[in-house]
Amino acid sequence: MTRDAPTGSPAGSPADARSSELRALRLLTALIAATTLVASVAAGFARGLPVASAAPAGYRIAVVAAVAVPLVAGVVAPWVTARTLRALNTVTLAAFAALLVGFLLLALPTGGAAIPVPWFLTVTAAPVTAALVAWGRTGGWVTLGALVALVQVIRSVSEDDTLDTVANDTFTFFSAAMVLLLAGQLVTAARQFDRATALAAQAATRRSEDAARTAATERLRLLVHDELLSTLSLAARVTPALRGALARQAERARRLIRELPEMGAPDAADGFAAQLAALVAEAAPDARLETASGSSTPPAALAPEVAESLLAAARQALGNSVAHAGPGARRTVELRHDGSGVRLVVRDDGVGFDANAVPAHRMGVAESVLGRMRSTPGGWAELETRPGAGTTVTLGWRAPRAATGAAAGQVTGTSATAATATTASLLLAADPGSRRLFAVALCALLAAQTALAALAVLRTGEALTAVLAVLAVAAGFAVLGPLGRTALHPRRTAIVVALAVATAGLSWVPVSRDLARYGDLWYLASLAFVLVVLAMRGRPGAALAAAAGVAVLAFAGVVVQHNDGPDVVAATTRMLAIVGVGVGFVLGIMRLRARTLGLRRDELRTVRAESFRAASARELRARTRELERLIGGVLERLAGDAALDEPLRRDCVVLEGRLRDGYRAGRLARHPLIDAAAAARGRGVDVALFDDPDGAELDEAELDRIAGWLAARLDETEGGRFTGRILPAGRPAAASAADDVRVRELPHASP
Amino acid sequence: MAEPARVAVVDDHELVSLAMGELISSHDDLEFAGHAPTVRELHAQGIRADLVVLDLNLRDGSQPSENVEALRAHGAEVMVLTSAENPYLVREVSRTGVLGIVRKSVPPAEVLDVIVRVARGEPVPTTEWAVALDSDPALRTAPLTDREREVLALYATGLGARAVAQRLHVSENTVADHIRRIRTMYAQLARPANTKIELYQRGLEDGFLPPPVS
Repeated sequence: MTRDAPTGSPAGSPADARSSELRALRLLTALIAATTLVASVAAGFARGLPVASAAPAGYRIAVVAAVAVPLVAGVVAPWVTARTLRALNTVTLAAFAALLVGFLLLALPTGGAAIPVPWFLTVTAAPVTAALVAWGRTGGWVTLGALVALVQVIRSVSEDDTLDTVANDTFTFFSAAMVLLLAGQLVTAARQFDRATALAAQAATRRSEDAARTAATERLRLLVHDELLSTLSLAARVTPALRGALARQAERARRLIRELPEMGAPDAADGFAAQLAALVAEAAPDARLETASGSSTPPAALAPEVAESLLAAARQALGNSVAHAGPGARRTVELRHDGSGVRLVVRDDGVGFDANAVPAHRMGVAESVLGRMRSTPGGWAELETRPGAGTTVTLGWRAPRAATGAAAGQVTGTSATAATATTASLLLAADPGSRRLFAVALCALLAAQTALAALAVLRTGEALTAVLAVLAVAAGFAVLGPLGRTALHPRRTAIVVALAVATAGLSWVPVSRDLARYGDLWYLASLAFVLVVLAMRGRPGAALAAAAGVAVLAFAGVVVQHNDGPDVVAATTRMLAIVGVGVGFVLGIMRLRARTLGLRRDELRTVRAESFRAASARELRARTRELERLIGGVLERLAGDAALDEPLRRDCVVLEGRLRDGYRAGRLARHPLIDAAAAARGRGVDVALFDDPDGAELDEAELDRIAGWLAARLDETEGGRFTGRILPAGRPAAASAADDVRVRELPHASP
Repeated sequence: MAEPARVAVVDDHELVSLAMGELISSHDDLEFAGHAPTVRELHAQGIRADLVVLDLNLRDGSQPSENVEALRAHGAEVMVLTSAENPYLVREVSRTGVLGIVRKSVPPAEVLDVIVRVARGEPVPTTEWAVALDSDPALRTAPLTDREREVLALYATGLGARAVAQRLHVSENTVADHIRRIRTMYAQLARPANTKIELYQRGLEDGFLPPPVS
């Protein structure tokens, strides 16, 4: 085993009520309760109620506790935390242990005749599962080992080790081992999915935060550009006649800065339809907006980047229509969505055009609408137009098929897993420790059944069925092969089913044996394990069908031979129980995965929308604060009636340059160049700094060197113009500095 | 003496339009024809102009290149005013027939000088224009001669026409010829127009950093 942490380790975040691991632990606790109920009631019927026996009161209390504690745990399981579940199962085990100690004290001196064996010694799966929940996989295996040893001690003391009991104990052991393996797997599967989805959620959060920052920055950029740069650069030069207009514009800029955070971030969950309506009202107020939905899933849940692409493309299509459709054209915007996608149709009945006759450079706009949608994952776009027949642009987005997790373009971590996780053996196969354990268990099972066959032969002197059964079971495991990542091939499945049914047919062979005795049908339990592995290989249906076939055939064989001993019923029942429990776990693991994915898809959508909103708001607030700190004072003076004196104009010049550098100076916007530029602008130098990215990387030291050099050149400049620039890659120099008369270049750093 | 050129302003900031109007009226060769917040509005008001001074980034959702085309379709030459923040929009508009691209914050005398020259139909290569083109990765594949690249790179350092000519030991007319060919070649570079947001996002992808305002 590669991991042995207690099943509720914090790494699986079971503290989260929605975690799959927590659900798995609850399910297991509920199963223990159900098993307890069935087994203790059955034990009561078979042996008389132990409580009513002549045992001392303390022992009777222990008997009741050993039933009551797991039942209570099972009942409250759906509402408690993983920590509580671990504690409850520890109490269950303590109750079992108390009963066991009492039993040993009372029964051993008398040879065990008077007191019935506690039920959980024959239904070992229950205590080992409790140990698994309480202490992890190692706890489960240690408990199983201890119980097996104890049962053997009890058997030898009570001299009750016939073939029947040996066969019985063998399969009790293997059943418990199977349950332990599969239950451990269930918990591991749950924990791995919790982890994968947590990672995917983190990735989704990061992505949507990035998108939000971009969107917030873009808003701010438009504001800074449109309002502040214009206001400041004009403030530095307007004539007194325009003082009023300047005050109005400054006031507008102040208001915009103030309102920016309240306008809220571009809200991904704001409802795509609402955003579209706002867009239409702004870009083409005369257009008619029609919305129709084919499902209850609102397109509000679209991933932010998908929504953004659709809206941007729609805006452009509308803009094109307004510009080109001609006067009087009617426009409609149609939004349709169903559970798996969105379709947006922008249609006008205007002049249209012949797409083939439009020169390539004029097709740019259409191309960019179409190209933009097509470059969005899951996006598509169509343009339909003819001269005189209007123009229709259809924009669409469809959730990528199969990758269920990616339905809104988001889950990347789990969708790949989901696509391949078709078999319950996947996780076993993926974990070398589990694979080894599985192989060891299989070898042990084969050895045990060979030993049982030998015992059976010794007792009946009949070797044929024993040899055939051992060979058939071994062949069955061989055909099943090692645990794989994909479902077992149908042909192999058919062979395994045929082998199992044929082996059951051995009960028809007319040989001398004592079918009334349980031990003679030992191979039915072996077949059960073959069928459980078949289920694990992704064929639970075939396993159940084969189990039914085996049961009917074995039972019929016994009846045909006029031998209707009650133990044949026990043997087939046990076989069906093992297959049933095994298939149940396999289906549970599969279902857990499917549900996890389904649930996580919705959660991730929410996570994305919320992180997008939060990050945009945060970003906007932070940047707005910075802006206000930087230029709030100057704007206030401009908006008031402060005299446009020289110092104020200089302040405007310096601030305009500083804001402009924030964009265009790129990596040059650093010390000491920032201060040098401010000082130079204060001296009346018209400073322009450029760093237009061309994809070439420069390290910090080189950028510092360039900024330092440019700052020194700037300090030497007394007036006029100054242009400083990082040169594109591949030029003979790293940077250039020009004033009105000359250019100087900074050579590349020597390597 | 020739008729003064009629110059109109399209800018959605009234302050800019008014200040430009003052500037234009101050020159004998120019006549201020009026202003409007959008190109559509300008045409709707029936303002006729020989030259339109156009804000690069109008907030009516229009594309700079479309605005230029619409104005030229009405027979006006176009000069673009920028706040000098985004090289992508400058590149886009440089593929149109725009004659000059000027930063709003350069000294008024320089703005006026460019207006006068473009009003005569003369392309004016400004630093703003040259930097955006010179740093455009798409230009690497353009069929420009070494000398043309040299001219563009010199303009992009911030030198004026005379200084460029002097550096290359050629006449200013020769430099102007080079500029004309660079303009033509650049206009032919096949690259689809884009939305403002897309241009901006491409800027981010290219490493064009968001504004550190502090």
